[in-house]
Amino acid sequence: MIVDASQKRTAPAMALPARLAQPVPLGRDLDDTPRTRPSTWRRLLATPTATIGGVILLAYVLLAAFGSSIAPYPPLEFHYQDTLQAPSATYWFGTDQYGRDVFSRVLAGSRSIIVIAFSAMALGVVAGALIGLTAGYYGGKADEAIMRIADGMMSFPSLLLALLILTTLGPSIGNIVIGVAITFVPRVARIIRSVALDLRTQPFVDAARARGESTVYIVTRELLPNAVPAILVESSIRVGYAILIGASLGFLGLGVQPPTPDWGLMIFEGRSMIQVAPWLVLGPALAISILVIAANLFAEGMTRVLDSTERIEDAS
Amino acid sequence: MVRFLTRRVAFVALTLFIVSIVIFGVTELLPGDVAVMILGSEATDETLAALRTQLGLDRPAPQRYADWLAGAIHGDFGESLRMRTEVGPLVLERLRNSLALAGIAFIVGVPLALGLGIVAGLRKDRLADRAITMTTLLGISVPEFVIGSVLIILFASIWPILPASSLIDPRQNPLENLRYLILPAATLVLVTLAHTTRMTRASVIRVMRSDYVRTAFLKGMPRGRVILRHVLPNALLPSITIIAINLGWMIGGLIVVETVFGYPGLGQLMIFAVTNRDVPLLQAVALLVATIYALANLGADVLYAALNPRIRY
Amino acid sequence: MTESVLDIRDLRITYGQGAGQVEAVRGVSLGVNAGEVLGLVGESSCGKTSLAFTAIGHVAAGGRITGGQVLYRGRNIFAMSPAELQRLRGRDVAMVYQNPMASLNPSMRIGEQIAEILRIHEHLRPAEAKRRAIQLLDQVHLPDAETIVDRYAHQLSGGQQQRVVIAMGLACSPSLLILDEPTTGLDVTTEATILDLVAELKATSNTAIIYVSHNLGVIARVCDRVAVMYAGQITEEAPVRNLFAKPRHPYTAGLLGAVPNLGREGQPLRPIPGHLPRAGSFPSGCTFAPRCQYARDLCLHEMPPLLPAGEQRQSRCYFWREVRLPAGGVEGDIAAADGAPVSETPVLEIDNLRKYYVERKGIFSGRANRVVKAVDGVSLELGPGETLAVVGESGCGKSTLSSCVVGLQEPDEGEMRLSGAPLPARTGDRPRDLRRQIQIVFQNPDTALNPAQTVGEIVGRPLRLFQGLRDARELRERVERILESVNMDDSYLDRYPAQLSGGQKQRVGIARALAADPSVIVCDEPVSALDVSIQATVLNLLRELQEQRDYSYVFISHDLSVVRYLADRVAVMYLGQIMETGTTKRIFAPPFHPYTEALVSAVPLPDPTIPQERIRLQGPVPGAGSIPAGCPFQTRCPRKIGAICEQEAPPIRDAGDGHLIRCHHPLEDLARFGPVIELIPTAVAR
Repeated sequence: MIVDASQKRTAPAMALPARLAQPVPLGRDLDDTPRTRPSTWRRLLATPTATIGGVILLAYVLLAAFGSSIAPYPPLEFHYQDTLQAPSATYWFGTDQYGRDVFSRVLAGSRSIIVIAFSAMALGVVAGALIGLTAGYYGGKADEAIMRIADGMMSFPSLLLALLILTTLGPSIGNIVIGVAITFVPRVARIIRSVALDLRTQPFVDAARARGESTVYIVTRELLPNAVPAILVESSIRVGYAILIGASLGFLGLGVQPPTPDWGLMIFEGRSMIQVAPWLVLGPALAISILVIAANLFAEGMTRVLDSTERIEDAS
Repeated sequence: MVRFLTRRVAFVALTLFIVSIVIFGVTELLPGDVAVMILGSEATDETLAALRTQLGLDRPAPQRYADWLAGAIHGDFGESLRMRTEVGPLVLERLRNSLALAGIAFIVGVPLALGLGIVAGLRKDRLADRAITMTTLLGISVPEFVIGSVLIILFASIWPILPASSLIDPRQNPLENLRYLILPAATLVLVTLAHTTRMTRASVIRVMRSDYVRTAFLKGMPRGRVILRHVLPNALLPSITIIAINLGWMIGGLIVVETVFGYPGLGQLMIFAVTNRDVPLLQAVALLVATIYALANLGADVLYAALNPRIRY
Repeated sequence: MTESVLDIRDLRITYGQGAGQVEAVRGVSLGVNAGEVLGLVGESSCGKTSLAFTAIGHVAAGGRITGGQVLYRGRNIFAMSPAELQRLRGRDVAMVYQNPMASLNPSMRIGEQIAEILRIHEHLRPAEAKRRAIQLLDQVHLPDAETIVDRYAHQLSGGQQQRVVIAMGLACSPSLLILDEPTTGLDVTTEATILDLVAELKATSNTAIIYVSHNLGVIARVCDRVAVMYAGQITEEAPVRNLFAKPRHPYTAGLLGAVPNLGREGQPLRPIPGHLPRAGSFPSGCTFAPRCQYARDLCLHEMPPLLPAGEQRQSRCYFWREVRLPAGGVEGDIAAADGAPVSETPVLEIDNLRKYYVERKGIFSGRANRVVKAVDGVSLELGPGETLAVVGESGCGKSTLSSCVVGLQEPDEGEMRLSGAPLPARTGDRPRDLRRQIQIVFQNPDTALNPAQTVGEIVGRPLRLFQGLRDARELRERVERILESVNMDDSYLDRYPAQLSGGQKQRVGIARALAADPSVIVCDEPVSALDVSIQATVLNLLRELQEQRDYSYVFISHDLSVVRYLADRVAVMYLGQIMETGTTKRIFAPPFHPYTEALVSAVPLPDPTIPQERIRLQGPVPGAGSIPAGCPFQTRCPRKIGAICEQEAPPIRDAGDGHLIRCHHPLEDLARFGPVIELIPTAVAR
């Protein structure tokens, strides 16, 4: 039924056929459909940087788990007739001064760095988030004291603090994890504390307090679920830093001891022959660079999807 | 302002006090007997005991801490266990070398980073921004020792115009051998540049989105004026803090970069102290680095407060 | 006089891309003439702000013009070169924004922000520009303009900031000024002075003004002509008096029926059923049809065009002739607004409550601490089934008072009793049953509900805690019944707050309070974050619940119209003290406390025909940290007697029937000041 516009303009009610002038019941079709936002997963998958970064990260984790079994040679096997070979079909990344296959060593070296990265991240984030949530919820003197200590710890550049801790504990993968995790704790705590401080003044937390809920209930049921996005973002950011610091410690000789393959250590050892056999450095350098880039891409995607708050990228 | 300053200085002093305890505690907890390490395992008990007395190791820790701190405040850090020389002058000499390197990186890096950050922020999502963002992603992702190694391969091996290492005489003025400084400084610039650029970009974007910048455009101010008078003053203020934070990266970077190039600075000295368990040396270097970092942050805070009209004391 | 300044023709604005694209402005045609104030009114996300911004050639990020033209004196703004546009902005067309604090550059002096407009557009020298900036600040009645030019935005109060932004707008005497919700967020007394300024501007210049607002009262006070927007379209356009007297679109009539009017006695509120359809899923016929009581089949199939509906009027309704202002009674006895006198046993008693803060200025600022007297000796009683409203402007301490009642803050002094039994200050010291009996409904529905919990969990929690319900099925049934009582069905049980509209969230917030089975519900500004049509739903819901279950409400509000509609008794607060208290009827009639009188006089009424006396307060409210000696109100009081007000705390005068006024004026004097509003009784059909 098309009504001529000019007709309507002149005499709207008159021009109506009787059927259309019937009253209709009120209140139909009240748009009550749920206003759903796509799930976090969907939005993460729709963010290309996150997807690319995530896929590469996953590949590295798989390499760390199964890399040594697909490696062409055992990483510690000497090939005396093939020392310092340039990359070729036989030795993809070339060989070192003992004739060890650099490619196999890079594959084997992925394990230590992945273990360090994820363990240090997990340890640092869990401890930092707990401290941050508690300090933020209680506020007052406890918060003040915790944050002063955190400031003190943060007045060491991360690498310096990790170095000092490792000097005390002695070089080993476990100690690197502890050292790196300790440098993360004050930084994570600071961010999660600000989230908790913000949450704690929200009316829904007031409602819980007015009901007389216990502190444990408020922290675990009201605060924690809402801090999860921030904690996830923080976790993803920390992975990249953990790799950087862990690898730097390896490079400085404070990580895995030779002859175990480790990327930082391999680059340190290759450095003296860099002008003769640059492939000794380039293989592990490529491996570590791609890994950190992937971690940072993933973190960027996570931040974009999950983080509404402004965050000053925390360096040092 | 005076009260603000005194409070800030007091706060820094407190921080440094905590830091000194941490450093002393950590280094004192070092496993292994220092005396044995110096004299070797064949030393007799008497000579070991004599050395311990000489080093003061037989006294209680709080007393040794007090002595150490008192000495440190006067610039006396004791004697290096390995080099058998006074720690103070040694550290100062290396500090000069490190400052030369860091200074060059800072002077080149900070203006460049601010410039790139501003360009990227103003041209958000355009070609220039994408290029800068991608490059700086590399900068924050690739470790210093990789960047350094790649630069060596490029400019010392493939196109040999610069020395591959910077093994200069530590006593020499490093600025007289600028050639040796170029590659390490470039590495340092690339790393710190990336962080500062990204943060500056974020800051510019935030200000560009603000209501007051929209107001400025909608009251008919020309784009250039809006950027110069409204965007930059507000966007660059946080950069002060950003730069101070990035000094932390630069210090960490220095340790690694000096090792890569064999440059005789504080970082290398520190690694030497760590690997040789040279406690007095390690304590001195760590305290010095922490002090510099804390003072830089103090300076940034004061500058920020002085330039920000919203903070009045 | 009818020189057209702006002519918008069939304008369309679209946000987003591809499948997510949404048309926010859908074919709007509108004109403004010189010397005229055009009101643009509508609820949130109706497209009024997007539309207003096009007049200055601006479309928010993510949006674009997808049709039509905006003509400024015949020139298409969106076809102008960047240079032309830049010359237009600030010189010919200027804008005043909703949030003045955010609109001012925090690191540039006020004077410079005004002067740069003159330097760029009129090429004045710096000294001359600054002199003109001072003149402009004078023109918008900012006291002490010479010192204000050298200040920064954060050093000014909200009202002062808005005057600065208006001065910026007036700098080049533009021929078109756009005001986008310029008083939203300001206190009612400040709002009144800003509205006076707009009226003065209208009287003294030939500038065309577009005034955008969601507040019908504000529109009624300053506009000549009004366009009502709904879902991106103009639904009705008419001269202001005609619009308010005889709306000719069902939506306009619905709005007028839904907004409480201080000037009409015993007026019932009739919410508009349903809510705004989501952009992008508009019905094919008339957008308003699903909520319209006049809708017929035609309306479901054919989008009505704007039809001429009388002299200078247009309506987007086929049946505009049938539209009437909603009249007649609504559920409940409105005439009871006089309120039952407090019964012998009050449910809640508050006795001489004090809450002082020590304001710490941050650890490093080194400024001395100040004592802020947020609540300073407040005594109140609340009877069973009674609504006691506590009104006052921001910072008067009403929210601190409510926090103390629910136990979120601990008063420094004073006592509270619930049904005669002492009520401990801290929730931790309150037995479970006392905690159960006092519940709270918060202002902002977006933050009142935990975003990580479902509606079922939120409403079920008090049942578990206070009733000890554990059985999942029983719990679910009880939650369903409670949701039913706030008019929500069980389909909401598993939804998260993000999946609800604002009004729905607020109803869940009420349901959570009901679930505890309380006797007292503290409502802290429960409708001030809601749109007008939703507001009425929530107010009526609160009322119905009270009638059914005899809840007592402490109703915290800044909105006198809402208070008048809902409250039995009112307490007027200023700087931590109760200045006047009494039954609603007595509060809104003389004798007034001078502060109450000024408040009532400031409230914008959604009816341009009601005469309202003009009493204005000067200056901002003094900070609660520097309460004036003597009477706290003396610094702004238009009826100040003299030294006595500065030196002595005023006595409490009893006007009988529980009506108390804290003032040095004797009651006879106060009674002589006469009514502020001529009340128009509305016939209540029973």
